Amino acid sequence: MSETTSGSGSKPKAISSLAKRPSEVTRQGTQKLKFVPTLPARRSKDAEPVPDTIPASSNDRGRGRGRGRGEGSGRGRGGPRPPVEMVASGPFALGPAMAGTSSSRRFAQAATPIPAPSKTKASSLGAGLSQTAAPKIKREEHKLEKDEQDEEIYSDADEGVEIIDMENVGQMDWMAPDSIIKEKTKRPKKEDPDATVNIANALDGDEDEADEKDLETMFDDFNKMNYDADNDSQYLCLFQFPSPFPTFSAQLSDTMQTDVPVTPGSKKVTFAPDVKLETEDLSSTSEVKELDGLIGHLEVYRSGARKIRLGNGIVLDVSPASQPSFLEHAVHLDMKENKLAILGELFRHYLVAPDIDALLNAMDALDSGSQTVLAGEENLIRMDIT
Amino acid sequence: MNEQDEIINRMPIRLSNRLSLQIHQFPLLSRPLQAPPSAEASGKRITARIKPQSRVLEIHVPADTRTEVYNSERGHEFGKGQLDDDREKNQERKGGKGREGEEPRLAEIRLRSEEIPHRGVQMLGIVHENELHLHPISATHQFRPTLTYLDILSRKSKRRGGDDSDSDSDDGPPPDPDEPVPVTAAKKKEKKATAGDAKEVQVSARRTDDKAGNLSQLSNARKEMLAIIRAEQDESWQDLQFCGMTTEEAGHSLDQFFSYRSEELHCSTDVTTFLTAAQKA
Repeated sequence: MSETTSGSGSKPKAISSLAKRPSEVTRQGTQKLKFVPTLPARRSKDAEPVPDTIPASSNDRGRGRGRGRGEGSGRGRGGPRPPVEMVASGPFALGPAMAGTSSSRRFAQAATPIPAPSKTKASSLGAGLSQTAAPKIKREEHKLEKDEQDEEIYSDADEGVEIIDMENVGQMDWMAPDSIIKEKTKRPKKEDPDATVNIANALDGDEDEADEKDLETMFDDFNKMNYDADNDSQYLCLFQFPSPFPTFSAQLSDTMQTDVPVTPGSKKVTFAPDVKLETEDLSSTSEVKELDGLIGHLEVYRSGARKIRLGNGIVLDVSPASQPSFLEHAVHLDMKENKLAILGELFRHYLVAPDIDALLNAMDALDSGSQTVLAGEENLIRMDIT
Repeated sequence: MNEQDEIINRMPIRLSNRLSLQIHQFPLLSRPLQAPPSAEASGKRITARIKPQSRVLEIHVPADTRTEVYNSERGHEFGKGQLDDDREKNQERKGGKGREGEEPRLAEIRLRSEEIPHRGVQMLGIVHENELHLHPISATHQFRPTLTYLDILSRKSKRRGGDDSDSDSDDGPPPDPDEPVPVTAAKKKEKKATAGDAKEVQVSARRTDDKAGNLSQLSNARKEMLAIIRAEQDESWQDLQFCGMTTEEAGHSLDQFFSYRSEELHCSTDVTTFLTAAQKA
């Protein structure tokens, strides 16, 4: 499929074709949406190609912000490149694997929460947002790369014309629209005319890349969280444990538990009597024993695997869950003082599941232990119904 | 798993459950939840309120009202709509810094929460001093902007527009699936009769359900739903003090999050409870 207008006309623009090519389907089996602009991305100098690229932007499914986006991916690229594979916009469009990058990008901005409101000029209002104090390493590299490339393409500004980098439109002002996050292509400099082969490869490459990246990021996460003394306790992670969470109690010798009155802070929100909601056992009772103590260990393996070992032989596997690309706050709701305190933004989601081997062994042990041994059972034939 | 897999790092895990933690999800991709700098400068802050019984929260984020990005006329129009809507739902803010003389305008975005049921047990984990601290999360709320002021405005314009329009042309609520719909059935019969020989058929359609809705015909589920909605509307809001990440109160809460006792807790359940509990459920 060539990138000229005629080629893209034969392919449906908004909806992926019914015949599923392997490159079009993600690991989860959902359809990957592909958009191809009608015009090839051209290195553009300021105002001239604007009327030309406007029809191209109609391909973009960015909801109502299509115009700017279509131009953005065309102009901001810098250098003649094969046409961009535009991915659908929106919070879920990036898919589970890619969302990791977006969340990390946003997290960097949150490090410096409120820019100084002293500037009142429209153009400089948002300037403080992008200068984050603690940028992610990945993001910084990408930015440097980009800056180097972008430095070249801008021509001198004529009078009355302001040069805007479409990728940084979101940083111009508080109310400026957000640009679509660019996919990092492995082969950025290749100007291969045979676009089909390249695109297919690029997609596959990206998939594997993304999955590897997931494991890598998890690897980096825990190491980073560990040794980064400056940013200690800045990384809030959500762990989804299987239900029911093992019950813990203070050591049996310690009878203080029952005497200590439940502090109001630990009371969960009460429920209206007739509302039916699937809730956790922990939170439905208002008497929650206050727990505080060591429950186990998190083991980090060289292969990248993570295991949680709790008491009683409980072994759980930790794996990265699908990362949401939207903002999530961890919040402390203090009803006693009517306070809603934000503890921070969630950085990553992890899924915790029982280690299958350990679980099966334990189930076997449980089954064999509970079997009542009848007298002379050895002589009887066992009918295994399980 | 290969046996050569060695442990590089081993982090103790601690558990505490002192606080009432929640997760709030926002439709924001690339920016934090902040008031715009222009609003911050004029002293507006993010505020929050809650209806504890109905478990609904609202977060009000001040909007950017600079002239280059804000349409004042629509702002006033919507503001009035919002005020009317508030009055109707009895949730008007008392006292508005001399707002009586000034025309109300829509200067904030209201995000309303919806509780999401949990799957499994959610725990918040923070790595602190080479230890993983876990804390259970009691609820997850998803926030979306509410545009209920538009309902009021559209209602007004509809009333003004169609005074003589009968209930036929009015787009009433869709027919209740629980209630019988005899109208369409009768019409179908008529069509079938004429398809064969040309017979004169007289059909009269009688609607058993009024526009007002016969309450006795509502199913239990709908009654429950209506009851819940009504209870929620009747409950009054409780104001909350919104403390951002950088405030002292948030720091204080964060301190309370961590587990401080280093005693080992005793585990009374086994790995098998994951399966057996699931079997029972």
